[in-house]
Amino acid sequence: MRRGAAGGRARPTDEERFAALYEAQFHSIYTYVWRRVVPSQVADAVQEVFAVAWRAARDIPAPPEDRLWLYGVARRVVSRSRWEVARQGRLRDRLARAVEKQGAGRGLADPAEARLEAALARLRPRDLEVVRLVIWDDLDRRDVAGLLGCSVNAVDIRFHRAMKRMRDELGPSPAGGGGLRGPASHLTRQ
Amino acid sequence: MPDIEDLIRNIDPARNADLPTSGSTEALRIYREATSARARANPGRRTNRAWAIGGFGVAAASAAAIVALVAQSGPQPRPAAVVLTLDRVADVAAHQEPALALPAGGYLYSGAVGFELVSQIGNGGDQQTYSVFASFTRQVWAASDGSGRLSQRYTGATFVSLTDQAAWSTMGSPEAHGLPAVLKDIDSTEGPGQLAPSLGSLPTDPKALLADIQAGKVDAGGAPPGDAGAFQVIGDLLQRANASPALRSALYQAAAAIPGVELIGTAHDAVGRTGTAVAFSSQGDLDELIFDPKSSQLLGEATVVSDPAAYCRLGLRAGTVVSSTSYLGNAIASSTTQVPAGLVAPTAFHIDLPSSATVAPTCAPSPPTAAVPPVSTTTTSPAS
Repeated sequence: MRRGAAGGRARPTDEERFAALYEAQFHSIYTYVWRRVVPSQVADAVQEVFAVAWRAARDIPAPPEDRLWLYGVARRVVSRSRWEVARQGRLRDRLARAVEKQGAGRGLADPAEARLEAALARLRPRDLEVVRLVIWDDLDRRDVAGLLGCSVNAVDIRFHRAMKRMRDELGPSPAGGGGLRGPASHLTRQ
Repeated sequence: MPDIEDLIRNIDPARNADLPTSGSTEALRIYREATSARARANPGRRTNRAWAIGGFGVAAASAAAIVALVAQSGPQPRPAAVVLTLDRVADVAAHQEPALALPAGGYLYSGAVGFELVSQIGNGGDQQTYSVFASFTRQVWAASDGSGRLSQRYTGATFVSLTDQAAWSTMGSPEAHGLPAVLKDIDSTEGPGQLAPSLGSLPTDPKALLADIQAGKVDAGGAPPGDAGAFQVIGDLLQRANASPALRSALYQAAAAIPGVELIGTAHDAVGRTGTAVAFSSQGDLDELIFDPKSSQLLGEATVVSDPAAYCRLGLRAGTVVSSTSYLGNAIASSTTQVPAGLVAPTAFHIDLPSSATVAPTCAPSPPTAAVPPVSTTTTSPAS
């Protein structure tokens, strides 16, 4: 027989796949964009990411590849747009946020954190991006490599280099403990 | 001793920021804006350019409505996928052609085809009952006051199981018109309000509409009050071509606001047309509405077993489709015997019935089940 609705499921439509991806990744993408774009432009940039994805809905790969695909869209939108913050991760971005959020942020009271941010900001831009994608966006090395268009090995090298530089710059723990030596867990996990 | 990675993680500015999640009103707003952009980017997709441009204002209003619905549904955010899907089709519905106007003395004709589960109830307990899956054609001619003619003819049947066939045999194999006698054709003349609710007085605000439906103010074939009944009433109203675009849009949005409505995804109706299904689960049944997301047309409805315990006597498993109806469109007829030109009579469709081969009762100590050949009576072929 021709089954009713629950009997035979056809392939999901482009729209359904887009909706599922949207539901699963909206927050991640919003956060990704929020970190990289001046606050007043975040919503427009996120909208642009999903508008691009919507127009290309038939190209969305099957899960789990769809996530990386969407990050790729977000990366292109952020990097080619007027929205990109010129010097990513810089202190003034947080200042801007603090002002815009009317003091809702944590402010800059902690000198240890300020040191840490300053050290981050002095990383090479591509190394910094690897650090942010691994630690803040919680992407695995393979996804980072796919996103940045480089090898997994290159991701490892950049990450190690960045961590070493951070430790060298900061010396004793800015949190007041001892040294900062420790395993780079993201790189030894798999 | 904190690791450098942990320290860096701690200064993630997003860590303490309250950023929107997928169920948030901001997420829904962005979804609407992003997907509306398709019309802007591809005006050629729509045949009428003015239509596409003119749509944005209405789309925005609709977005506001759905956001309001989401916001008023309380702390539990509605699953975004079903809300977004119904929001989309509500938007499509709002832009359809104006409703059919029903002239004085005219009838709204609607044709349907499908199958359903029909059971004979025995006189002394349920010893002698039997159940069949029966295919049917249904035609309704409804005047503006809800009076008119209902004609339903059964066109074929299969016993649900060998047990049912044996029970039927024990009763002397009663037949009517070549089908088990439990299947009685209907051809009746109905009084006002029996065939269709009055649509004109219904609010087109989704919230008010849902409240009216849930309160039982909209009578549509004796549906139970509450959410399960509301879902059925919405299905009844959506298939009517004299419902205005605004009302049909509100109906889809009202469906999205019923707690527990879920997105099933791509599905087929009884005649094999492809659409999108949303469902509401109640008393062991999953009631599905299957619609075409591109036209907003309600293709059909289906009932699927969600709790096998509710069907244990029949041995039906979860996922079994126990009834399915395809709506074949409606148009204005001048009399209760006329099938409007341009509509395909339901008798033109062949409905495949479920096989009885694999079912056995599951609630009683079940007898050993051998492979049972499908039992099917011949299909009558009423003149079309």
